[in-house]
Amino acid sequence: MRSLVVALFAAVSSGLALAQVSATDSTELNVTFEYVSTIEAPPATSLSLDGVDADGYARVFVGTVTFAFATSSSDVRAEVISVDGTDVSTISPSDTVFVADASNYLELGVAKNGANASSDNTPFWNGEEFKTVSIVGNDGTGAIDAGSSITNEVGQFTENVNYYLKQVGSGPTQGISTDVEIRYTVSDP
Amino acid sequence: MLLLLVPLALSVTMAQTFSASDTQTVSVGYTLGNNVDAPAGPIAISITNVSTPSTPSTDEQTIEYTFATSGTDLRAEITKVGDTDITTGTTSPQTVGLAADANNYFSVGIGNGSISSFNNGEDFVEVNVDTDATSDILDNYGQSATHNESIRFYLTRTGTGPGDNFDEPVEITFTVADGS
Repeated sequence: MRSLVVALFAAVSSGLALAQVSATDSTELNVTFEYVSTIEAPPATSLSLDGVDADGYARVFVGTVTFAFATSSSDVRAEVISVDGTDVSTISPSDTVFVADASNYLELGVAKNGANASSDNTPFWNGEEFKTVSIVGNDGTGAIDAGSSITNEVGQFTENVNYYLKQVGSGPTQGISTDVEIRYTVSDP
Repeated sequence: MLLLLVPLALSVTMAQTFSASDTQTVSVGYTLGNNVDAPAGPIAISITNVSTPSTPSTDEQTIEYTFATSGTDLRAEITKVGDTDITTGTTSPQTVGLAADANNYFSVGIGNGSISSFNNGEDFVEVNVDTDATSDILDNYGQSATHNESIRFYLTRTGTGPGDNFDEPVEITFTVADGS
């Protein structure tokens, strides 16, 4: 009996001298990050064109558009929704102060950096109809410079936007001071 | 007169002693062994580019750990993302979808009030959960005992996020060891 007890003590005593080992355990997290579609249009802006300007063209930086694509097939579009408070779904451009006739009008649109009167411009209307402008397409195209670089991508982006005014033909027949409301939409077509 | 001495058979009984006692002292020792029981998983957590709140968290999770000595500490790190072992040192958050670049990413974090992140846009980071550092999450360092605490896991977006959707399991490994 006493010898057994002594052995037990010895065993316990020797255990006290053992080095501690580290211990580990793990947790699994199911983590998701999802982009949802968002859009923030450029701020309110003003631009004008002097009808006597020989170029008949003016381009101005109006700010940035910030948007998020939830899928690789998302795009950003913009369109005029009202002119001088009138819903454009009820009228045509010829009903506005911008258009004298199909060949003579003032054109408002989106321009790329370095655009001039003859290139890299995408209008919101012509002399006959209002148009939807592809700001950033899902096919490598778009009215802004980033339209060619943001292709089939998911994520959040902030890009510069330029607008232009261009006299087509003789332009409108009257001076203009009015507001145009433009709506930006991001969607997955 | 003859005396006849007849031996008599004497029956003598004596009380027998069948029990005896003595005492001994047994010195028993018990040494705490380092141990950790991480929160039970899997635990779901998600974030979007427009999350409200901007730093979503899990519910409180229980972690139980044993410090064998006063110099033992508890640390944690991401050890796996999806099927990728990130402990080899050759993997960055950008290669496993957590980051687009150094300034645009989302991080996985842990906390109990303040948040400590397991990654930034460029590196994975070991978190001092309960150590002698001042930026600890828990405060049992130096106490040789078993501790039962509550923690939460967090997700935080930085910049525009990782640049693509993310849907993977992330393994967090907790280690109790001698901090010296």
